[in-house]
Amino acid sequence: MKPRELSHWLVRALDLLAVIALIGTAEIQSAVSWSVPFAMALAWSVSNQAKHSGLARSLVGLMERLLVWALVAMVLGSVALVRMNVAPPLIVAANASMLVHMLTWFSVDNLRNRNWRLGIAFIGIVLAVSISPDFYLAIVLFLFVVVSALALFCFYLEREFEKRSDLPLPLNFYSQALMLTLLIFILSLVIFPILPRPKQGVGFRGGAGEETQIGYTDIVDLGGNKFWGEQKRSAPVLRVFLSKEWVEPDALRYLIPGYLLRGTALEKFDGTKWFRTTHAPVGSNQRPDGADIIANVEFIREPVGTPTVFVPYSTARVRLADFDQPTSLEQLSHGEWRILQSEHQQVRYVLSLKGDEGRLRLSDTPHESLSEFPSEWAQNPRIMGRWKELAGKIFSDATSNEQKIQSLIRHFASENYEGALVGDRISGYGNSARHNLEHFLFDIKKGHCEYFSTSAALLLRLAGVPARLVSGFRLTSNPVAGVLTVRQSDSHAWIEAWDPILGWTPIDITPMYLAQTWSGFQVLEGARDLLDAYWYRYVISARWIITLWPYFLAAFVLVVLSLWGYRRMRGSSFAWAQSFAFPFRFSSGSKGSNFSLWRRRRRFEGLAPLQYAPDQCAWIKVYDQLRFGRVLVGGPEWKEGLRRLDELFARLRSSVRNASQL
Amino acid sequence: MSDLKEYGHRRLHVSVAGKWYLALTIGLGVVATSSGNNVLYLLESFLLGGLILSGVLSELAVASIQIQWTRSPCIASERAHDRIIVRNRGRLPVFCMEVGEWAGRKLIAHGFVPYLPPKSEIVVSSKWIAEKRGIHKWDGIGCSTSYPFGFATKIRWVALKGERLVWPRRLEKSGQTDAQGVKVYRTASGDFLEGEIREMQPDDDYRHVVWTLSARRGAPVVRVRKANSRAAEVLLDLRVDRAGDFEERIEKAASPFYASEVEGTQATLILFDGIYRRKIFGISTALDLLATVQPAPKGRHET
Repeated sequence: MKPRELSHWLVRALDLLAVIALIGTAEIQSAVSWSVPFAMALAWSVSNQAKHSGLARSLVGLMERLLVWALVAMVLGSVALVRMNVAPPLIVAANASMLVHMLTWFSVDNLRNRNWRLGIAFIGIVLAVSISPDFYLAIVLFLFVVVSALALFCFYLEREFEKRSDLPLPLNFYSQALMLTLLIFILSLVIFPILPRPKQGVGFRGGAGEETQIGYTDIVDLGGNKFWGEQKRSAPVLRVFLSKEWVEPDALRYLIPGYLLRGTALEKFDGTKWFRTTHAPVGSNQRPDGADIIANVEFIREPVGTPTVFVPYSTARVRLADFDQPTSLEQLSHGEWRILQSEHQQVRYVLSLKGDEGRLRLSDTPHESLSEFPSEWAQNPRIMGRWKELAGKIFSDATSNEQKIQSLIRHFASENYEGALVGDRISGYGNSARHNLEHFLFDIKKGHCEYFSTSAALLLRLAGVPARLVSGFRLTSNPVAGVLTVRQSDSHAWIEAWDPILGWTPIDITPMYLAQTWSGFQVLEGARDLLDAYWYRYVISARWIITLWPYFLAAFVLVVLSLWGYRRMRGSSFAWAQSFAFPFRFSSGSKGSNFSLWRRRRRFEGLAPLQYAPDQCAWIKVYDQLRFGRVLVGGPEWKEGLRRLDELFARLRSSVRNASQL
Repeated sequence: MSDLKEYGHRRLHVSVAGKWYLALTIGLGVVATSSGNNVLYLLESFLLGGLILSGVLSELAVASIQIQWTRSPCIASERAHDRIIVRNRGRLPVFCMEVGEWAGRKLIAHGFVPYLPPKSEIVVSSKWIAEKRGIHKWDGIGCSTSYPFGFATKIRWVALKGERLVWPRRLEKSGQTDAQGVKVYRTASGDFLEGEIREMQPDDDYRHVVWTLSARRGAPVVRVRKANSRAAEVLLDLRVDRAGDFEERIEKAASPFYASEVEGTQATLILFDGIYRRKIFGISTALDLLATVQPAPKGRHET
């Protein structure tokens, strides 16, 4: 095979890898993604026909001429889109690079264009890893480096061979390319830890541009029928790294009370939607009773289009792991934690948990809006009559807030209210929020968490207990290899009711769903989640590098300098310095001393002084040769010399013994 | 014969692809540092790894090369059929290695080795073509490679100064030798009779050496075995108006010598500069002189 033929395929492979990397990020517009196969097919047929058809040839020429203008147009368009705040720059750049890829497929297949395509593919990969922290990119990256090394080597041979004659690839080309790739990987592993890191830490700072449909929203809308019949994509939202002792369900329940991860509290209900109200940040991130921490648990939150950080009720302290700025995180008075950076980014944070005995510090006290019933409903006597009748029935015997809360829980349990998933189809639901809520509460007694929590909050408010809806996640599956993955389908709503003694008490009356049986696909998905989690934790935001890179760098510099000095000083007038640095390497005078030689000399000197003996002179002669001659330690000459020294020494010793006996 | 054995000097010429690669590496380094994304650092490591590997392997390649160069007579506009033995002493194979002469701060390639396995050698014939007659000088001999990725060309050269004579261009039609200032005379017999003893000339066959006489005289002498029945005598007038004319005259004058070399006959060169005549015997001697001879002023006349 000729280098030209191989590089023809290699550049296509690189193109393909870059396209796969970009499409896999899910940030590429679907129109762009869908046009990829069509563009590929068209480019393939046009380039095939270009040999025979003048029309195809002129089309290829036209596309090549258009390429420059298209690039300019794309740059200008991208700048305009970014300035109009339509999308973040990285997302725009990624989409633009996809289009550039497609244009290059139409270009003539020559070495110059192949270099261009290699560069464009590389930029595509850089953009992909900048906007997505997923593990699949590690595989793509690995393949890309292997193919790139092969391609660069092949391009080189192509360039060299074409200059002279059209030579074929050497027989051991592939073994050479494999060796090159292997060496690049080894070198990269050496270089990776010594590269300087920014002071504010490492981590993934790109992130999705658009709000991901995660099920979690800051506004809970009960109106409309938007969820019905629409299955939500169940992508991972949170990854929780647990130590071994916390992976059992009972232990996990102790660590994360109620399996609930709190997002934000929504306090105002207008009859259709729950809204958040403004809360001031509370200064300290530290609980007053911050002692008795039972575990520090690491969370990774995917880019979810909200600044909210999800925490369990047992949280005592929150610390961002990726960014060292203390002002990066704030806590609001109603207990919500928010990050101050871009909301479209992956966040890694460490929670100090107090276990089931702990309570999230909620510094706010109830205000009037927390006891409000929707005004439109309150003005309607029929509606109010129906709700008050039910409230009277539930809370008839309860006097304190705590008793009322217990009564409410008992009511929902005794009346066998049935939970449902958001995607389930249940008859009788319509577009009106009030209708849906009453249909759930009085008629069908089946619905999803938002209906449970809204009904409970409104009933408690009617009974004079301040209550609010809380939006967050509830765990439904067990950890895999110590990593708990919280998915979009785990989004949940529950309520917090006010008790003068206990404070805000979380109440989750929605029946618990157990994890479904895992199908083969879900097993694969779980494995992928696990790899994603480890990839992020140990590579993308590996903390140890931040602290250790100066030491790695110093060690690397030391090794390089030693090697350089060793090479420079070998046989030079700076031999004394070399003998200091490498005392046991060379025997000769100009190359330092050697321990085995020194030991023999001490032994020799320890012998009783003899008068002239031929063996003694011979010993000194051999020693001088080894010590001051240019003999390489460990070489055959060296070994022979040592053997000779030992032999002479043995004879000398026996002579001394004989002499002493005499 | 000259050898490339020493460590020598190094030169590095970065190629266009190498410049782009460097720019990409620096750009990505800036992006990685500002973003803190370790995957970008990983990519940067790969790029730097490729760069370092490129430097190390090219150094190993050029350092492992040993060259033994045997030169042969060189004619302008023709390939110099020098015999270059390229030896790879290293443990790695060598790809796309150029060997040549270092002159004017650049390597003039003489031979190209596409692939040389470790611990092996290859004989390369020089493909260098001298442009014009005269003295060709070089500052050293060296080798170069851009292995493994072509980012830069690494040159290793050793200062071994030398020079060689480039004989005048050989005319395609050797018969057309008549030109202004050049006269070719064909003699019935040569300057030497059969059996005559004379000092050995550089183009003489060593089988004609009379060893006994040589030993006695202290210098090699040969016996001319064959009478040169069609010996040529070329008279070259060195007085010219223009330099271009002179070069043409030189080429015409050299033509009978090339023909004689092929036919195995004798040829004599007579140089005339308007005042003196100088007779040169032997083909090699004549061609050597023709390689360096310079025109004489036009106004000179025989006295």
